[in-house]
Amino acid sequence: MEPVEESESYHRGLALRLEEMAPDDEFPTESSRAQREVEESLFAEDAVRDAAGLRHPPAIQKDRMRAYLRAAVNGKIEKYFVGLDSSQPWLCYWIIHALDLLSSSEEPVLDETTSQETVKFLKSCSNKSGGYGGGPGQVSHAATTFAAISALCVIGTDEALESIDRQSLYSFLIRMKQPDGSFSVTDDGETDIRGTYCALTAASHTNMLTPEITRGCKDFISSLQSFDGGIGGEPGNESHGGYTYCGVASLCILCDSNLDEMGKIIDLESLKQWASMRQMAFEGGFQGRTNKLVDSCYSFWVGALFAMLRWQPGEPSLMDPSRLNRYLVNYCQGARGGMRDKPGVRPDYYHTCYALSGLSIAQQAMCEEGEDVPSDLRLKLIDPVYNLHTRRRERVYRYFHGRPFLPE
Amino acid sequence: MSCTEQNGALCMDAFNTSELAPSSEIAPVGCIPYEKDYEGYWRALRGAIEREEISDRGAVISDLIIDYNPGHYTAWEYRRKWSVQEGLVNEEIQYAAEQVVSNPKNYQVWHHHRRLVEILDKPVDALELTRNSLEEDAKNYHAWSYRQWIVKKFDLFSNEHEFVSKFIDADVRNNSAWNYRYFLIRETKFGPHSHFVEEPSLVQETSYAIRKSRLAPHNESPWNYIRALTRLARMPLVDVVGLVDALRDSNPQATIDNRFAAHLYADILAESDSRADKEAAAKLFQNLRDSDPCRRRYWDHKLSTIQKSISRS
Repeated sequence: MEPVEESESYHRGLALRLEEMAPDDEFPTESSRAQREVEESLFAEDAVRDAAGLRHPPAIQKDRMRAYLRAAVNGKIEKYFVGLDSSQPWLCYWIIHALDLLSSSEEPVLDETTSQETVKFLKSCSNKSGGYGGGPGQVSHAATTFAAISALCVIGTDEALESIDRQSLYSFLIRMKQPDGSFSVTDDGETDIRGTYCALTAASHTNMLTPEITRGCKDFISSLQSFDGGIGGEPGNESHGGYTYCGVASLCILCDSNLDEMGKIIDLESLKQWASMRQMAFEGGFQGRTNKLVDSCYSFWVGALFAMLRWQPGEPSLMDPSRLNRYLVNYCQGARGGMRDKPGVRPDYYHTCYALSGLSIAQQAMCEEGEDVPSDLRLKLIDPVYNLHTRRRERVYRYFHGRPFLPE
Repeated sequence: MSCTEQNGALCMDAFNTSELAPSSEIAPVGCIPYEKDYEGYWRALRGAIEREEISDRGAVISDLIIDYNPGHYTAWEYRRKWSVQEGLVNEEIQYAAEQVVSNPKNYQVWHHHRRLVEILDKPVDALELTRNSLEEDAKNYHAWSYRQWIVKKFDLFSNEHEFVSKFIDADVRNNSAWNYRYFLIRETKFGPHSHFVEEPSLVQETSYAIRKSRLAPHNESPWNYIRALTRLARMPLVDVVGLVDALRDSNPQATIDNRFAAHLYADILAESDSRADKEAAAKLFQNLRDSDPCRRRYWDHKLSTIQKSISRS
């Protein structure tokens, strides 16, 4: 039997939560009906937990997460992932970055043999004319180039970093460069802010941020800010969490995270407003666009904005980290490990990577606000600009900054 | 040159074993268990690409690969080269349109269509294609983005206002539609297409948004739109005819229970030179801070900004 007081406070809590559901103003439309369905699915999750006598939020099940991810190392994933055949470096990055966040030591994520084989495999995805494709034999793509280099940064050995051929990578990036300062994703591919972010990250890691690479980037990013403060994929497009992340992280690279400089390129006040409005009061997680549904991947794409937009370390983040933590821990953990978008869908590697990255940001903000996050539940700290564990990024920085680059 | 009806094994007969690329290197992390057929198709296409062979048999194989994996951008690129070489761009664009219908959330499919339209330099079926797609999913990012590009490139603005209004009527919370509406206003009023069509004035447009905001006051989209229009017109918010009245209407007890309206009203007051107005704005931000705890830190930020402004005045 539970004490009555606790039960009353529980019901008071429930009533408060009910008030935070998105009001539909008694004018239901497709958007508000879909929103209500998600809210109800969260209630259903709570009901299941209550029936099992579990009132308090469960913790992040690190072992289960690790097991889910470890099964994909030196083992096959499920058949239906054939749709990711052109995203093989991505799979590699999502899995080992997530494992890195969960690890309690600074030890390498992969054993020596697997690490060597992975470096070799990623090399087989690269092309003579520069960059990395989605798999061996596939043409180079800015996004898979980003993913391959990020995966090599997580591995972090000399061998991994040496395997990056900077001369050909540089000529690939220059080949993708468009007259307006943006980058195309392939030789004949689409041009949007993903291309810019992926190219700048690759160049920044490898110490190749030459004036030819950065030319026109600021103007392009400035042209993408939408009327509501967020950033779209191309000029005129709707504000979107993923594209806003790419735009802001690109500016951090271009301006060395100096917010005074960044504020000359985009309006930071309206950006803060847009980003703050993306947190869902009831669910706790973020939506990617106005009037869309919560999705755990935006825990990183939008959550990282708050980490990048702080004027100085120690200043509180503008988001509510406890709510974000609650959404991820209570509603996004798969029963057999892995993280999912939202209740009712199965976990996958993409969501596991970005939900855990978002959780790391939430935990960091909670700790800064003086909340107690037990050390065994802590995930590793990440650098929000690159989405790598801070130590991995430092290591890559030191490695390439000791090796200045001269284009041939 | 589509093979979907045919037997994949027959298509593979067009290749000798010696023409197939060796089996791909295996990913040690995240290894996908390929079906034998798919693996064979890729070995055939990879072999062709390595020989720089652009051929009908390669195009047939690329279609089989796309069937399994519509995100295979290398296969799409192959098809573009092939259709240009063979003078089959008109046929290929039909294929692209069919693929858009089955894979509406795929970057490559939409891009393929767009590149072919660029090559032909005419907007083949693109308006219809995006309309159909948006009728299925009214917030499809690719479809709205593509429609913007088509309309701008070929000056097709004449019926767009009516088009987007239908989407807002169907779901006043469709932010993609509001974004498109803003795109139309900006392009037709201020862009190179401004000579083209009679468009509603910014004043009319603002009252449209105010009307729409009344249907469902907790809908963020029209509130953002109103702010944007005033910036476009370089007009102080307070001068928007009917806006302050509309906000006061929903504000009988001096505190506004709708955070979007309260926020906008507070920002209007904060722009004022009067100290009393600024203090009223601070009061509103204080209320927002208390009633919207999820965004407490953001309202604190707004509050501290206005308090700095008060202490300077």
